Amino acid sequence: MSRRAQGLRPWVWQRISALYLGVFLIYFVSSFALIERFDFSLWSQWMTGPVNSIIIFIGFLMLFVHAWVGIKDVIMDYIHPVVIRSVVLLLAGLGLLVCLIWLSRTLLLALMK
Amino acid sequence: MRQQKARPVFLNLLQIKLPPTAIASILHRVAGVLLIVSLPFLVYLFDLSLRDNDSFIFAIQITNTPWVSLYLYLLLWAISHHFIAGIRYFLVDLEIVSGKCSTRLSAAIVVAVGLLIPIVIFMVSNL
Repeated sequence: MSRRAQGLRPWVWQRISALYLGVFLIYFVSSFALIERFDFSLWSQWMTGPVNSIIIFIGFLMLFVHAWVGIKDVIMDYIHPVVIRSVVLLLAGLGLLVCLIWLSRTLLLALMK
Repeated sequence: MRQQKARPVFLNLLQIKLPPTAIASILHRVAGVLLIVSLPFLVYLFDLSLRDNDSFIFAIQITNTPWVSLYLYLLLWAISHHFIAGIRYFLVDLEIVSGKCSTRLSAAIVVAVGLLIPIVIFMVSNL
């Protein structure tokens, strides 16, 4: 990608992930909205379904991308000193990465049961 | 220097009137940051909910404590607003929503519906 279009890639990713997460949110809410008795077996079966678990795992990746592009823009807008900015960016990125690994681990452990 | 001192400064936040588009935009950011900051707690609840039946019930109990419940309603507002404002941005990008009047009106609707969703869910779940 040319240097002039450097800002375009995160912009496109933000939209792709937003679309995925938005459609997923509708699917998630509509799956549980009309349920009478919400319990563990229903919840874990939904989360570990063969198709659902793949959709959810991609959702985790999309959430990570979306959150990173978003928080990066916010940090760059409000924190200007280079050193503090870099440290905060690093901490935010690491925090999100830990969340992504934690979410994936949770889903994998549930799948292996 | 004297001229600079005479520069009118007007920063009374209670008197500055922001257009609905600006309010919707700021709240979109606030909601996004709020959701990201809350992510570790939500991931913890998700982890608990998928371990076993006891942990699942424990997670439900956590969400039912008054302060956590209140906080989760705040997050419900955040995700509602972020979602609807996001749809509006797609419509603006696709130029389906354009012009001063419809961008303002749609932004006001976004703010209102974003607030309405958690209120309606609260009322429905406490019938």
